[in-house]
Formats: sequence, structure tokens, C-alpha cells
Amino acid sequence: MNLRLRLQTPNGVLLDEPVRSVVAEDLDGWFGIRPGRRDLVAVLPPGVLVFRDDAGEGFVALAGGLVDLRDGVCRVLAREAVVERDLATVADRVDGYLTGRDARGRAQRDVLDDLAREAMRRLVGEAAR
Amino acid sequence: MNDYGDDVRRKAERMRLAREQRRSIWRHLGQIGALGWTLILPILLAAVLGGVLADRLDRPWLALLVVALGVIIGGYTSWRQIRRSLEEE
Repeated sequence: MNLRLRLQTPNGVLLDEPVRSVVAEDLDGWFGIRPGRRDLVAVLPPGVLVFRDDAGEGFVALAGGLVDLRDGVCRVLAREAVVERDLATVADRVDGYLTGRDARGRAQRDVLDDLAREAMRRLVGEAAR
Repeated sequence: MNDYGDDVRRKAERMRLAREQRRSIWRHLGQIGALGWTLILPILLAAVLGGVLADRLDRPWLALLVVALGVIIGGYTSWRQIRRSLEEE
């Protein structure tokens, strides 16, 4: 009887390891998962998920997602997730991650804007000739 | 994507506070237990010692005196322990 935690986001698999327990919160409240628990599916609102493995405790900050416990594998699917070992720094890690993500988004949009402007200029240049 | 940073911060903070409170409850229970011994042990020892002394020296009032001493010592040391732990908070 084993329990495996698999955390997946559109960016890839962030976690895939054996764990002793998982504690998560869904829309009705907190619940725990230990090896041998009955299968379940739950919707996770944005928040924190706690797991315990041989290295100690771990915290996963989620932008909301799904948890699917089946055949001893606890699959957590989230749009975004940040894994952290220290409860005191989780929120800061998430803020840092979000700031970086927003900055990257803005930079990408700037590049697209520049490309669009350049394309327009050339089109207009072509049309003028 | 929505700002889940606020939700995470709120929930992480609530979790942290709950854990701190849980730890401090156990610590306080432990302190109370230790305090009980600090008070009782001197009195018990004094009772035994006083009894033996009173028998050996054939002076029955000695037992009472030694027990009274034990009560004073126990009371004083537990009083100091309470003050010290209150100052820590």
C-alpha cells in the first residue's frame, strides 16, 4: 500500500514522488489522504496543499485545480503551482513567481506589439510606392 | 490569470497561526505538570525526612517543623517558576 503524489501543470510535472500523506482543501473543507484511502476526486480552490514525505513537510501553493486519487496515485492537476518546503515563505515565493510571470507576459506582449508596428510600417511603405 | 497570491497568503498565514497555537498549548500543559512537581516534591521529601528525624531523635514536633519547611521551600520555588515563565511571555 503506497501513496504517490504527482503534481502537474501546463508547464510540466512538478512533483512525482512517494509520500506519506497529503492534506488538501476542497470547496467543503480540509481532508487528508493516507496510503490505502478510498479513491476520490475533488476540486481544489486556490490555496495551499500540504504533503509529507521522507524529507519532511512540503507545501504546494495552487492556483486552483483538481485532485484525483486512484490506484495509490494522487494526481494533482493545477493551472499553476509553486512547491515550497517552508510554510513561512510560501506566500512570498508565490508573489515572486507571479511578479516574474506577469513581467514575462508584458515583455512578450511588447515584442508582439513591436512586430505588429514594424509589419504595418512595411505594408504602408509598400503601398506608398 | 486571477490573483491567487492573496488566497495563498491568507491560507498560509492561517495555517501558520494554527500550528503555533497548537504548539504553545502543549508547552503550557508541560509547564503546569512541571510546576506541580516543583511544589509537591519538597513537601514529600520533607514528610519522609521529618518522620525519620522525629523517630530517631524522639522529638515528634520535628516532623511538623520539617514538613513546614518543605511547604515553604516548595511554595517559594514554584512561585519563582511561575514568575519566570510569566516574564518570558
